[in-house]
Amino acid sequence: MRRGSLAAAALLALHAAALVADFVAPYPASQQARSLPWAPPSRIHVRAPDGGLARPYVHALRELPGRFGEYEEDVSRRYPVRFFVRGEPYTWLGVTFRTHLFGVEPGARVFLLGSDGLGRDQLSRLLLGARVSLFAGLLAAGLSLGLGLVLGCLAGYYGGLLDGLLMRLVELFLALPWFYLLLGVRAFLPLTLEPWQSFALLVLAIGLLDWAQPARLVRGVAASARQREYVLAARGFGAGDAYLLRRHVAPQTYAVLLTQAALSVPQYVLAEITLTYLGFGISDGGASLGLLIATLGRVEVMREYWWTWLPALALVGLFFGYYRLADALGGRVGHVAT
Amino acid sequence: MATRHRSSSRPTSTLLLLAAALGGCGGGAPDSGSQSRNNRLVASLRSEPTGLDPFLTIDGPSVTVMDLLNGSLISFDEVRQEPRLDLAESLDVSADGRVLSVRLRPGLRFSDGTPCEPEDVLSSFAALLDAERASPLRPQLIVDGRPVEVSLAADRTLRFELAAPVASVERLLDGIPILARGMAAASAQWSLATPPDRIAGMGPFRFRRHVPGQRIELERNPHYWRVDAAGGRLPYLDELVFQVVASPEAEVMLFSAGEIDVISSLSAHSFEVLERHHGDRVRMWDVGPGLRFMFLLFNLNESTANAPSGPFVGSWFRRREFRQAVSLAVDREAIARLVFRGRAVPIASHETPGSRFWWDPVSRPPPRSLPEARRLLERSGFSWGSGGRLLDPEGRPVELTALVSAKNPDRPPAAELIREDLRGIGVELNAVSLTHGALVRRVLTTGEFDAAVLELGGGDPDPNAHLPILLSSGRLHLWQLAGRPLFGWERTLDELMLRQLAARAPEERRRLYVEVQRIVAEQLPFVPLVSPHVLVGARRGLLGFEPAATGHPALWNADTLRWESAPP
Repeated sequence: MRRGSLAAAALLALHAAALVADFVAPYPASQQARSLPWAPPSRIHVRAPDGGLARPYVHALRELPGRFGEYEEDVSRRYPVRFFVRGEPYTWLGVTFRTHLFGVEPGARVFLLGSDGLGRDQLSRLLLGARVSLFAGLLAAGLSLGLGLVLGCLAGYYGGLLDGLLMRLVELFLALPWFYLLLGVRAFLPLTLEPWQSFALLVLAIGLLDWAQPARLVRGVAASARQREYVLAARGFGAGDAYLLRRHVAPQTYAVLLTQAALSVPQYVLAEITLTYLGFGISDGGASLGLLIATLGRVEVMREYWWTWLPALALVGLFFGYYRLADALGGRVGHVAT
Repeated sequence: MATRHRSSSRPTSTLLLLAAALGGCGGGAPDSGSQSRNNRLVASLRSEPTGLDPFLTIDGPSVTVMDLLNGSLISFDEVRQEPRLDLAESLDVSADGRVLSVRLRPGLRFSDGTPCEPEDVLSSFAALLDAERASPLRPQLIVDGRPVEVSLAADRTLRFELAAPVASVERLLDGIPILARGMAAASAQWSLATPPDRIAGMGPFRFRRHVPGQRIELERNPHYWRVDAAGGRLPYLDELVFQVVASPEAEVMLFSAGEIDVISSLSAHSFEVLERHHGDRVRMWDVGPGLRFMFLLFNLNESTANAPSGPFVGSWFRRREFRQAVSLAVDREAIARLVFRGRAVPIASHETPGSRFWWDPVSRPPPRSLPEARRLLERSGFSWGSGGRLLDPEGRPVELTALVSAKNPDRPPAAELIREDLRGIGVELNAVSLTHGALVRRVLTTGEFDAAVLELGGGDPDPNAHLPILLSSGRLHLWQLAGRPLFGWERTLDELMLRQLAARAPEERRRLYVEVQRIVAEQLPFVPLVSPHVLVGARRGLLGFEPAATGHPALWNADTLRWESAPP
């Protein structure tokens, strides 16, 4: 379980950073530095010119004459990296803030993960995009698992005709090509959506399409649980169906659901990323991991600007963490969800 | 969207000079290949041709192949941007400009060895003018509502009679394929599956083989009419192979690996990567601006009831000051620099510097000026609310949607730049990616759009190539589809374009067309943005390679390409 704890801690830290992404990110996701397209990650200097230690600083970049996207540092001035700096305003939970975790004075930029073709900070876009993608995944997982819990418990507890109908519905949903359905759903949506509307509809679409697998798992557990002695005893003492479902049957499914959640979240994150990558999710200007990865669709970008790989590598880490967690949870509860 | 047009341009005297420079025609037996021949050139196509009927098939890949299989009386020198005599030995125009007399070269043969007679030319034009066949090339031969009348005269001469004189009349014949009498009717069945011996033309190559999904193989036409200055029969190449390569990235990789010998339609970044990393094996050309141009289109239809942002968007777009303000707010230099890495030119109207004779160098795009843009908006009744949001005269926030094609990697970043620029005047622009087909349907059919970032690009610099766009009745009159002028300046555009169509003197045509460009630059039915450069590459050792800004940049002169030494 130790490796599961590590994975859980790492994921928690990542989600916490994404939650306060506006604070951690030095720049807004859409802010363009048009004189600095494809700037490499900033070199953080800690040595003063005299060789001694100095407060971390960066130099401004200037493009080499006639060499698009190639830079040299302007060493004539140092820009110290400061913490809790005043920057572009952002709104969090309805309140406007201006403090960012770190930054430099105007005149230079601190691009820890480099910039993209429009001079936008990759770290800021990664954090703010991760917030969109991660929470889309979490909420969609919550929706699908919640729906799966309710329908699975009903099917497993009552059995009979209800069970038959629900399981046929499960089979239908499992057979659907969810990705093409999502594209079809997106095609029916209005062309113009606010980012929050895009986000909400993505969550709904993904969550409502993928409840079938959790429902099937929960149904099995519920069907088994209703035969347990304590359930029979409680029924004998006059407990109603609602009480039995709520107090005795549903709790038996939580372990399965938890494991399923650890597997579903990365899938749903990937669904959101895929839709946005293909241009059918959140539009540019808004941030999303799918948009970041979309730049890798060009071979020359992949080859020339290695820092554009970093969001993809961050995703690998994210998925690895979730699967480690699922593995640990599955081992603990004795269920392996596939 | 890409369009392909053929039309007219320069005086007949130039044709005669070019004809003299080209050398003689091919009489007698086909060349047996006694000269050193450096065999094979491999090019690429983004998709398989849909057919090989030169009268019916007009998609890009099909035209690329058919242009090499078929000959025409007149063709177009893409580098010099002038017409030239091909199968025609001479061309005379009557004093009233209504009759062309075209004398066929002697000794012409189709690729199967059949002699070419004037009757073959007659039957080719008859097939083309057959209304039932509904050839897309037919409108080219309709003048003043009447088809051109073609008849035989003495001594290998054909007469073409027009209902009215037209500008650059010789270009009417440009690109019209000449097939043998028996084949002009049968060509309707020609496809990639047709046995090669049933397809014959007078182009430099003939069809040899199609490997489905992979490549199309052409072989040298031993009866090709053209010879070089030393009297040697062209083409030099024995084979020309088209690899079907669906993606631009794959195309670049195959070119860098040496599996493709020529490449065009490159992105600026791919161009630089190839130049930097493979310069020892390939040579790259930045030909300069072509005929393509990118623009921001407004929905100026009479009714914008279906516009995504609301029916009132039309009231914004129909104000010239609004369109001009948007034009002033857009940073074209940034688009040229960031999207095309400096390999694009900001433009003021639909015409580009790639059209050397017709482009008006006086029309420059306005320097970016947010204060001037704001002044124009204020004058038109707009104001600004909280947060700097632009409000229309009715107090509605100005927010609109711009469609971009998901297929083209240049347009989303251009739309993003425009979005940030328009924020400077308080306009909120949302860029939405659509499939190409969905975007075209919304713009050309349903009118369900506010604005769109598009490209148009013809292969022909002649102003007549822009008739479908600029004429209010044109099928590509994108900003409004009423089929008639809705604004006074559109009426003026119609008049000017029709006058230049009828004008015979090139200088007069140019004067009229410059006026057209200035009206477009002032009235801005769309905001012209940039014209990307044409970027071309070829494997080192390929001689005779003259990339062009118009037509097919790499293969327009395929008959004179040759290898310095045989490829390994």
